[in-house]
Amino acid sequence: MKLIHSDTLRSTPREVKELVRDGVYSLYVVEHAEAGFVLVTDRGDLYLLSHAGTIMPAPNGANLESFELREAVSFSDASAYGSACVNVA
Amino acid sequence: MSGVWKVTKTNTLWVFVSCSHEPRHLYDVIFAVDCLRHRGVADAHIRVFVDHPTPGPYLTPYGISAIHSVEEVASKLAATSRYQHVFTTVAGHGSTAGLGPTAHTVSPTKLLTDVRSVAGISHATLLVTQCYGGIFNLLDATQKPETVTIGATNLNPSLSAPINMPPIKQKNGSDGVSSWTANLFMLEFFNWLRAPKDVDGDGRATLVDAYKHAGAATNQHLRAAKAGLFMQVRRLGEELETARKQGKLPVEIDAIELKLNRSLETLHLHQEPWLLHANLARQIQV
Repeated sequence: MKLIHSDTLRSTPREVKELVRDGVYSLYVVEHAEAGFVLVTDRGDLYLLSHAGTIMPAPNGANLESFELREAVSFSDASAYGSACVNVA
Repeated sequence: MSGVWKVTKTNTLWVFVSCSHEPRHLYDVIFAVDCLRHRGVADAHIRVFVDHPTPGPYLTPYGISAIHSVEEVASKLAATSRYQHVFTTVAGHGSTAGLGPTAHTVSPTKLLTDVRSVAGISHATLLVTQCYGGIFNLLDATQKPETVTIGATNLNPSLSAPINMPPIKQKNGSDGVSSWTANLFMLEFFNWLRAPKDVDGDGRATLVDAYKHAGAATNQHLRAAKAGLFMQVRRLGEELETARKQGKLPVEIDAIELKLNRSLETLHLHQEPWLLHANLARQIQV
């Protein structure tokens, strides 16, 4: 699984990145000529993301199987909104 | 059963069932498996059943390879033996009818029957952490093999909240996920399991202690989270209005609206855990 700093996707709206960090939206590294990532929302809507995070519509009729998924992605930095710190034994 | 029965590294089968397409529910399972490994449980004693469309990219980097579909629960469990106890954790989404999509809902009775089908077990535990977990309550717990059922919440949604913890290590040694919106009860239950403590002072660390720790710790997290959520809801409401006025992309508006709705739910709902068959739970030492 790939952990990147959220600033890497500087063109992606903050709330979208928060939902990826939350584990509500899915983000994958993909092999694609024009995109670096594919985003899947909680409703199953698909979007392509450039390497800088610009969101682009997925091709008509595309689904997850249309892409060669490399790795699942989340963020290495903490949420901007704050969260509970869990002390792991 | 009378006296005390102890869970060891090898006498218990650990089963996870998660009906969800959201990665956060896979992260919940990854953390729980990490806790079991910390206790010395080998992967051979762990089974994961999911209906996520692409579980591999999430679970495989953490060394979780025994991944099956939820539809295989009955057949895989019926083909399993050599264990004295089966500990099944239900993660992911639940509904008022059970688990999974409407067309293939797994009812509480069906899941309990599947769990009891493991040949040779003396007893079982069912930890239900999903929404409407209370529909798993009040089943016949004394039917053989007897069953403890622990619910994170009763007949209402189960609450999750953003957490931060030290990164969970991946199989290749690199840092993995450390921040997600976690099912708090499941998180704290397995956090207790990582290093069990006697909560009620009876001299033993049993399932009853795990239940008491998880319930209290969950509500402590929620109490702290709600203070921040009150301010967050106000800010998100303003952001949503601005985004609509500015004609932002639908994907951004949807994200703000979803974040707002989930924050409102966590802010206003209450969670009350429950336990069925306390006499057996008090005897199962972990």
